[in-house]
Amino acid sequence: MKRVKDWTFSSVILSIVTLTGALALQGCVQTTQEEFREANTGIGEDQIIAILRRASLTTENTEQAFLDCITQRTAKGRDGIDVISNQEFIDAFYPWFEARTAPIDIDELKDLAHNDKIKDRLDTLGIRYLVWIDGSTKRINQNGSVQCAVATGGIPACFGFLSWRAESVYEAVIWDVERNISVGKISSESKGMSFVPAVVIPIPFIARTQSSACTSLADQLKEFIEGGQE
Amino acid sequence: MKSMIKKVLVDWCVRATCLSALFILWGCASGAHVIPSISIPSPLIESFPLTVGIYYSAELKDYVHEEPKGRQKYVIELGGGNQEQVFDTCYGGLFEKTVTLESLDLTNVEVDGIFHPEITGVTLTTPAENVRDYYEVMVHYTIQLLDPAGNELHKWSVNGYGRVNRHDYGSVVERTSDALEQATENALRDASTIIIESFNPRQRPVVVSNWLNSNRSNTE
Repeated sequence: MKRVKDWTFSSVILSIVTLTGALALQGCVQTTQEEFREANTGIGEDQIIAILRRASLTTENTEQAFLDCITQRTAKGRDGIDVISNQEFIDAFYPWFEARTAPIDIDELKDLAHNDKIKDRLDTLGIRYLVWIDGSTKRINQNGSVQCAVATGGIPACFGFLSWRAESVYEAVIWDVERNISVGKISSESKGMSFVPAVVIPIPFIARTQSSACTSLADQLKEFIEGGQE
Repeated sequence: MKSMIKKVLVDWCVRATCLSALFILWGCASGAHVIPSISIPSPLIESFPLTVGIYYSAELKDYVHEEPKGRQKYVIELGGGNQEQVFDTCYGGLFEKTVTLESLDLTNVEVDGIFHPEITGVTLTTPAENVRDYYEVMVHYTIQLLDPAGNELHKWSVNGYGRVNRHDYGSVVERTSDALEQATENALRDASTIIIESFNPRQRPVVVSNWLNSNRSNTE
């Protein structure tokens, strides 16, 4: 009986340690959101949105991993919205939404909307909103170092302490293609500190700021479009 | 028992060290050999009611760019159907009918104009060179527009530019070939976009507008 009790107690302790370890390995992330609404929104059951990269030939572009993440998360869940991905959209509207030809403001979209072929394709696909994603994840303030070497006896060992601060700053500008207006802008900023202490074995504590910004922006986007009281 | 564990650990360490060394040497010496295979969608544009010929020279169809950078060698094979994909797609969208010409001998060829593209060079930049996170490829073209008699009407210089972020291609072992392949495909797609854009009424030269209008009135 005592052995069973010991075993149960050990399991609980082990679970707590594992859970704490897993949480600690994630690192700490702080996320802030902002919203600026210009008009009411809403979406029909047969309508979809396009999530697009605000591509540029000269400046920093949003990572593909972030675009994939926000596209998937926006479409997921009970409140999910049907999404056409960046690649599918730019292929369907080639060459009007390439990095060098895409409309940069709502006036340029109005010009494009005069083109019957573009208008027909938008109608056929049922696209109601264009969501332009801009931003990136940057690693800043990196300090320290971890050095690894093969010690006497042929066993590799690492020593040192490495830390950095990561910032994921993303924004989404939302255009309503039915009314040809900009309906608003949302943004998400995640900051986190990652560190890797190494005493023989390096243990990384990584702050997953990009993933956190993605989740936050996707949830915000769904709420913005569906909760706009149209 | 202790000696056995030690032997296993030493064996494991030797293997890990060899494998790491192999990875490092491979990364230092390999460069990349890229064979892109581009697919450009049909343009969503109105066509001019003209028939044009496209002449692909053997040099263009089999163009290979080779560039040594330090101890690394980069090879990009731009032929293999990629050039036909670029020009058939953009001119196929711009004009009602396109014909592939076997030579520039224009007797017995009934077309309103001929396009003769050539690659004049390729610029390739890696993150190590541009101190940014991008692999960049620029494909430089000249494209001649000839009238049915073979006289040059206009010559365009087109620089198709493509780039990709290295972070999208692996965080531990960078997939250089995949990154360069995508950058090249982006450059070819960009070249096609520039060509379509160059027929925009606001951008096209007067001589090209005149050629389009004269042939349009002939067909009407």
